[in-house]
Amino acid sequence: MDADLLLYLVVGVALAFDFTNGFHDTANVVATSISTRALSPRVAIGFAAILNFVGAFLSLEVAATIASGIVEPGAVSLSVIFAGLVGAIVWNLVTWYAGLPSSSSHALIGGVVGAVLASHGPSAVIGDGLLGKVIIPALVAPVLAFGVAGAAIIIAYRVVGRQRPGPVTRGFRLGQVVSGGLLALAHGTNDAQKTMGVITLALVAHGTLSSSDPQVPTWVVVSSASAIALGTYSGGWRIIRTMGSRIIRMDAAQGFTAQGAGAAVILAATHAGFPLSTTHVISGAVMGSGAAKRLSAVRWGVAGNIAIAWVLTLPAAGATGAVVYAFSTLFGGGVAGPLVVAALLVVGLIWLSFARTRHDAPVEAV
Amino acid sequence: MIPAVVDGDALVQVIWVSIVAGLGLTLVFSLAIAAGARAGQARRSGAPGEALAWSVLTVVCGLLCMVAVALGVVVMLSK
Repeated sequence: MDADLLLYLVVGVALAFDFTNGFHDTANVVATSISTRALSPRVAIGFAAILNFVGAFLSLEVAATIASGIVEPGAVSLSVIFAGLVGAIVWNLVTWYAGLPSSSSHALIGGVVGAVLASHGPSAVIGDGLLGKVIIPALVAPVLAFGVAGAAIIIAYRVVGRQRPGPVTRGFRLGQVVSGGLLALAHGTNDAQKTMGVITLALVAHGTLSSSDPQVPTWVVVSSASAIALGTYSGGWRIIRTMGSRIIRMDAAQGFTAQGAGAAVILAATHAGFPLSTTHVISGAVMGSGAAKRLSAVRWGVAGNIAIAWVLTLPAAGATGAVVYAFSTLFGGGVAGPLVVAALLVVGLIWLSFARTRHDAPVEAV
Repeated sequence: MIPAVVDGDALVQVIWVSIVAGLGLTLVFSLAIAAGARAGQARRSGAPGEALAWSVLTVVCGLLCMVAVALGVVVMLSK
């Protein structure tokens, strides 16, 4: 009975994480399209939600099981997954409230690593895996996207420089619809799968699925796709404002090159099997397309805050995951601790939704 | 130290494919826009031959962009 209840809790919290992943990362896909008026805010978000939903069905390889190669597999229990998910949700909500784009995947990995540290100690964390799969890619992604987008905008300005601005702007806006669609599809395939992986892992740990060849149940695919699409449709306006207009004021050509270069980097990484964060890539590309036009066009203070959020993601989500795990164990090893944590999380979400209603009006194109 | 923990071949591949694909896509799409604009100018100034040439370049570049998008979807499907 306790194990069943804990499984339901983990599934519920995993879907809640998926929802926060959707609204937190919506900005990556739609912010530039909105700020350059390629699409209206509501259309951009609806478009991204549909493509995220479709993207979740494109591939069902659950190879990206959470934190694989980063923590010892034997250390990952239902309680650890639960604490890791709560750590990731809390960090996603904090960075959303501050309007800062940060990686949901890194938050999830950080939460699980923190919970494993609290449950099994440092020996259960694979340092090389953490360095190779999280820290070095986090350095590579924004620098590479910055460079490619910066060179791309120079090429674009060179090629279209002497043409009338009207047709050029309309052309790049059309290109943004397509490049934004590619990004939304890529996000759906990558990030909805992580939730599918978490729920599948929980079902294996519970004994519902065989550990030798676990197949992802259809309800897991549909619920994960729906949660990320609903989250996307709800729209993280605070981060959209930051990505769309607070880093740089972009024109249609910059919007297209940021999205096009971002999509190229993400798909190249997908093809090579190299783990890069969508958030890091798009943020770097937006800065690159602004800096190549004029260094002072980038608001470096905002860029610095984003970089600080990236650095803090792993330790902050990890600390939250560790505290949640330790707090849960105060109530014994059963389901009581996670139930109390889940209740506190729901209260926090209700409070945040009220705060959002009061302060967070949709952005208009700038 | 770093090569021991990172897949160096994958990293090099990501870098060069990103540069080629990102810059190539931008170049081809920008050419499509510029050629489309020039085709319009040529039509307005009564030069149908020139307009046709620019229109052909627009279509070719547009098709290349569509191929790039299709390739992107294939990469997603085949991962």
